[in-house]
Amino acid sequence: MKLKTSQTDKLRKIFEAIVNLVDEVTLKVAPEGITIRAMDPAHVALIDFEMKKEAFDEYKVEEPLELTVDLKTVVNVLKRVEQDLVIKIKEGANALTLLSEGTMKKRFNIPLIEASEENLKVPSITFETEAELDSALFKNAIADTSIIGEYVTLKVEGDALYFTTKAEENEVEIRVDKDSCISFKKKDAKSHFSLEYLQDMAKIADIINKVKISLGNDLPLKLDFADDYTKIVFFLAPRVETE
Amino acid sequence: MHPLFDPTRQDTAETPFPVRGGSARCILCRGAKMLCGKASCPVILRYYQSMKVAPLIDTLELDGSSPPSVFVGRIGYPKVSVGPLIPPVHGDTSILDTPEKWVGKSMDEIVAMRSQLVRGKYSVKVDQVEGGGRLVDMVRDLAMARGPAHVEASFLKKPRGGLVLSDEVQPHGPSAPLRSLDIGSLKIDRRIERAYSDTDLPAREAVLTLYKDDVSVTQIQRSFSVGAFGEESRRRFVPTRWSITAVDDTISKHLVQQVKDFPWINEYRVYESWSLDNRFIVLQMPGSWSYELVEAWYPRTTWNPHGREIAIYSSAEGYRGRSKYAEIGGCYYAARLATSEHLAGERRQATTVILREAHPGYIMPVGVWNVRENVRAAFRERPRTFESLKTALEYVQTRLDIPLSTWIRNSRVLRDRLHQRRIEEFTG
Repeated sequence: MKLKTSQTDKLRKIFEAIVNLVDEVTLKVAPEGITIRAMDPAHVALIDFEMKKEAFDEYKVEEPLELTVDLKTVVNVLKRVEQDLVIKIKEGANALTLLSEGTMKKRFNIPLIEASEENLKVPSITFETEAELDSALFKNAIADTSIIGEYVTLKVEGDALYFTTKAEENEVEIRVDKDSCISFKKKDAKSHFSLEYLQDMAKIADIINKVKISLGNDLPLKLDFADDYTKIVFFLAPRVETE
Repeated sequence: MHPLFDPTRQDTAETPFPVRGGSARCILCRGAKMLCGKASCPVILRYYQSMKVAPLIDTLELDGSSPPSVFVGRIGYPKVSVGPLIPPVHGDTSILDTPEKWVGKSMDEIVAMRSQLVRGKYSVKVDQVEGGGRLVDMVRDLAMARGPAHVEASFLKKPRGGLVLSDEVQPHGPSAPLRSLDIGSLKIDRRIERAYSDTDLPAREAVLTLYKDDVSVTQIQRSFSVGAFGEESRRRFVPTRWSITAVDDTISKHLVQQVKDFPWINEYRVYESWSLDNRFIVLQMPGSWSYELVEAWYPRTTWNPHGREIAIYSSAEGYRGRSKYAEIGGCYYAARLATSEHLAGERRQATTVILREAHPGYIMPVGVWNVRENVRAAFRERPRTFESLKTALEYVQTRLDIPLSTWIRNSRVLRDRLHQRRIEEFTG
């Protein structure tokens, strides 16, 4: 196996967005591309990541592999390497080798760890409410609501998407009109979510400039970030205040 | 939904349990931060005045068997007072400084035990762990001793003061500046000595090694306070109150890391321990590690002296732990140690909420050992087990006076548990 990419920054930012959610990830390397599916320990968030082989400058995979690594270590290594990165399996050892060749030739070996056998299922929901918008707007709205509280209400009502938070005497409301969205499938819907998770997820806005928000009533939120060869989907379970 | 679990429930006139009012300042300060702006804590002063300040020791010379025990003050840091605690009695006095054995003792017994301990004081810079002179060396050796040691102290002035109280540290008796000190033969604990003589071993490693070697938390804290651990150049005297929390924090952080690798418990459990008019209820739920200590102080208890309402405060951490010092202080770390110790011991992971009702009989602070040892005592008993959170909470309500709705409103972890859905509920 040999993968070569010049998009190290992008990989690092993706991993940084999920490093607070999961300790370790299993990287599935297949002939078509690499994928990760992971869930946070509290089972509140699910991450689905895919990077197609076209995103790599060189992509040589003979047979599918599953490589489980400590995510924090990977993030720390990615901070230390140059733009061009080569990922290999260390021959004869149970480790992933990351090579970067700038003025200095750097080589990092990261041990592979045992995967916790989990077959994670993605929520099966047909969403009737969707809004696609500039991901910077989304990140902005999450930052705005975070200054007030710990939870946010996402709501589509009429022709607008709302982010609202109330905590003690403080209130914040962010409205994004249908016209400011790239696409808008309207049906009124409303759910509450933990901002702690959303703050991490919103970091993807730095590298992928569109996000599709799918919403229901007291249903998980689905965030689709995608560009030509990269896709990151988050599911976030809602908070339900009354039952 | 059962009305007890209704977070929007209004408390009735018969159950006047408003919260977060009244004496917030005292609960968040506990005599340590001087939040009221006075030079000394009026709450603690009141106890002093109410106590007979009969000079136990009307003399400049004192000899007795130190349990062993030492005290490192925090006033004047980085120049602090170090010295032994000495009772005017001989024999096996070890119980006097072994909080691990105090659960079940009455307030009077604790006061009687601790008030006879006279504190000798000798001023030293915190980094003078070595080369501070013979007296300092003796205090350090005493802290590492395996059992009681004969101590002869001669003071510059007669010991003064009554019982000295603090929220974190167990009380002690009058104090006096030391002129000289003599300590009979003492046997240093071999395990502690090994850590002491290893001048490359970081303090954290030393604490964890000793804990694994079954050295008691109190012994580790005692040696920690005299700068017995750590890389040579970094050794410092650590005020007793800080060393207690430092050791609780260090050990429990390590245990929590282990616990995160273990499978979840598969039922709801309720443990309990009652003492000194405190009720501790420990609720454990299947789930990833997270932990909270919620404390309810009745009016006229130590840290709610003037309030007319029960005051409730809590500190919590999620799976990732916390970065800021707990709002409610050292007791948070003491109970976290007891909790993680129990889970690590049975190789299980759980979400834990500890609910503490401090009733009016809890009239003065006795130290965080009270929380650590009560939670440990609770875990020594078989828990009641339940199949659902609802039935577990219904049982909890029969053991506590404050309504469940009030606990839930004040507990981040319980609120999360009741309101936060999980992904697998939607995977069909």
